[in-house]
Amino acid sequence: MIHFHKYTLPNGLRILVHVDESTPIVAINTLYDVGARDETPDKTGFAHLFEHLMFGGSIHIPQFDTPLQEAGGNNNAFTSNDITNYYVTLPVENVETALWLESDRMLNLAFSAESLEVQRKVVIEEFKQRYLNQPYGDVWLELRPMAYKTHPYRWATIGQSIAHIEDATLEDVKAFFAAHYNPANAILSIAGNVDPERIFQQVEHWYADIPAKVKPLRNLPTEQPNKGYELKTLLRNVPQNALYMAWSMPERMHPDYPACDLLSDILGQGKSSRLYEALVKNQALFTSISCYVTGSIDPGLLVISGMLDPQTDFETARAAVMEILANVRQTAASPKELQKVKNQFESNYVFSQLGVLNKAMNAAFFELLGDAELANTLTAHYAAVEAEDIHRLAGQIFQDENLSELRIQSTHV
Amino acid sequence: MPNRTIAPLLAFPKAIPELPILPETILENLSCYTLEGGSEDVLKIDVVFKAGTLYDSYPLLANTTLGNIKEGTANFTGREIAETVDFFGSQIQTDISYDRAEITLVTQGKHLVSLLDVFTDVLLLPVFPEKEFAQYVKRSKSQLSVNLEKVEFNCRLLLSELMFSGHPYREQVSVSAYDALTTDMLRAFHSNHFSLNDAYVLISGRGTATAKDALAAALSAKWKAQASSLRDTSAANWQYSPSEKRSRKADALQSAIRMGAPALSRNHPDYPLLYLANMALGGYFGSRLMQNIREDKGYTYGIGSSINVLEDAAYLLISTQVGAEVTEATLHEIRFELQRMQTAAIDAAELQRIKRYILGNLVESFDGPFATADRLKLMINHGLDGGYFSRFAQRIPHITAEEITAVSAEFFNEKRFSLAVVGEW
Repeated sequence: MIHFHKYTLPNGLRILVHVDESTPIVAINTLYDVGARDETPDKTGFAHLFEHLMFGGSIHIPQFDTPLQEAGGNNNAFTSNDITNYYVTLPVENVETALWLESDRMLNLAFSAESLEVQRKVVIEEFKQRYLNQPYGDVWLELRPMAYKTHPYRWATIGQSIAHIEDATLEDVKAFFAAHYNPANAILSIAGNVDPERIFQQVEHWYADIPAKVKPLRNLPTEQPNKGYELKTLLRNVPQNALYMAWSMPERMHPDYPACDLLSDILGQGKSSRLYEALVKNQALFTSISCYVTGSIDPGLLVISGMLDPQTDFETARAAVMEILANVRQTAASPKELQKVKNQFESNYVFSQLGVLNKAMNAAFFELLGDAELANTLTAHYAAVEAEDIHRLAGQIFQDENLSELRIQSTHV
Repeated sequence: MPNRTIAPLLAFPKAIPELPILPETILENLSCYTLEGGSEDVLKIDVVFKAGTLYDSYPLLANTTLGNIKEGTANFTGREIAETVDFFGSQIQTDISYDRAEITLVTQGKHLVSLLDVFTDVLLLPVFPEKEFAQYVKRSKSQLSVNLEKVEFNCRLLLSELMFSGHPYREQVSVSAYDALTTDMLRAFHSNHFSLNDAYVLISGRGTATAKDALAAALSAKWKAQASSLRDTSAANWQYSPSEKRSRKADALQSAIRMGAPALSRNHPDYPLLYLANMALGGYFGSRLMQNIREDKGYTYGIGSSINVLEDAAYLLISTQVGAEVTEATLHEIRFELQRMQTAAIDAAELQRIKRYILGNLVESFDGPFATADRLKLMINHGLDGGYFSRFAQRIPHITAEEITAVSAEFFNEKRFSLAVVGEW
């Protein structure tokens, strides 16, 4: 049981506090309900670029990092298609430093043109380092617009192209802050050896005067189901052929989500999974293969990706995958196989909750999904999945009209 | 209304506790350390062997032996091992460094007893079956060829060549090197280097005392005393001399840059000075390299420097990936920052910030049983006593700017550095 104290300030800021007396470290996690899905098609990559600018100084404090380092703390942030998440860990004695820093950049940024210029370059180098200058690095830039035609999940968080990042202006930055960075659009989650009443007073002290703004309304286009089968082959200077298959699947809070997640585990989690055992170990058609779900807040993707053995052509590889999928559609998982993936889920979940930072981060995300209490009930949702659910969903998901297939053809093979 | 222009008062983080290193003996002579703690029912059992890449008599031998250790044992097939471990939602992880290899069981405590038979078989009785070995080689060749397309991977190999040619720490990998390996070589390597004669066990998490007894019982049912001998790893003929090499990769959008130079080991009295000086140079986000080359110039997504302390050598490493067109400009700035550390005294505010940052991070690195286990392993591997980190923490506040300049003058002298560049320039 992970217990959270919950408070809401009059300006709309939601606060979660978890007490863990065993650690000298406190974690302060700030989740903003804004991600790449909230960008407009002509300004993609903006939520992430903005995350970089959140470190460029706030209205009263010229630098975010320096005072935090003085306090012996560390921090970082990430942006996904759904959220932007900032986190700090530091010795609990200095918790107030983190509240001072985080509250000031929620109040207002310094908006420096120099910071924008530099971070624009940094993000372009990040774009190159992670997506363009790596073998297979551009796969998700290509696969997203195949799998999504109308929903903004069709671009990656880094952005659709470097040009969008080059074009960002200081006015864009200010407008983005005004629209999305406000107390009602944030969840502040704190875990460590703190007194809940005292920490709440400290939070109140630093955050209560941040003006309330209306939480922005999200009105995203819905992706139409059955978009039709799409196949794309790209020639790339990479050592091996690679196959990526993505099927549409339900959103994170859909009642069928746990069953879909377990379905992907039956297929691809660990060396005893069906795809790995059949296609890597027994038939040796692939040198690696995996299956996973994207887990997004709006309808997501179930993905199978694999590296082909040099002796295998794409048609053979694809047919072999399809045979495994036909099998999972026809025959329900055995009780032992189902128990295995449930055990794997439970264990992964327990390990994902180790330490105050993970607890604080997960709690904020669960609260965004609906309720921080999910931390205590999630495993039960998975335990309740029956073999018939998985069977039914395999039939529903693995339809060709739901499938986007990307082949990376090696120039060496 | 809070006064936002005044920073809250800071407290210096708490002292670092001493870690008494008192193993118990299991089997005849196997040291077993336990670290009890944590809020969840999870356990980690690390078995640490003297089987790092240092002991390679052929390139990739240590790696390949470890990589095949779960592929089949006297009592279980590879498939049975995978099924059992997966069924209980657990993992048998393997990890290798220059000096040591580790085999680790990670599990919820409630499943431990169901896993010990498989785990001890993997530890003591792997058989290295041919078919699995052939598949492993094929998979590894595939992974390696992908890595060989990456500028940063090639740059790591290039710097290793420049700094460690003739030394057992030299990292030598190639796709064709796999073809020289046989399962007999793996078995021979296993019997000499994965012997419990030179290993130790570290159990961390909740229920460690029970776990220790259960592990000892499971091991003793299978273990037989056997002679083993570690490969001689003396580097008598090796001598470091700095050099520079560049390797062009057509159409690279970024260049990888690495610079390396000899450094101090942890038990050297001046190590805390060099540790602090490195922190200032490139050891954290506020460091001079990061502030200059990323936050001021925007040449890179990240740059850093570290002291890599191996058991038999230590070296400073500066590494980054930068836009191909700013490769030379970046080298110029790195040299500028190395020079500045040697000539201008670090100002009081920067020194104070780094001291506090180091101490805060030290507290964090002892947070929880798994983090503490990593510290303890480091102490055991490097022969450091239980008071090491608490003395280190006590020393930090007393370090002066003059000491930092002096240690920088010795270790940040550009002439001591080797330079590897892979990409376009």
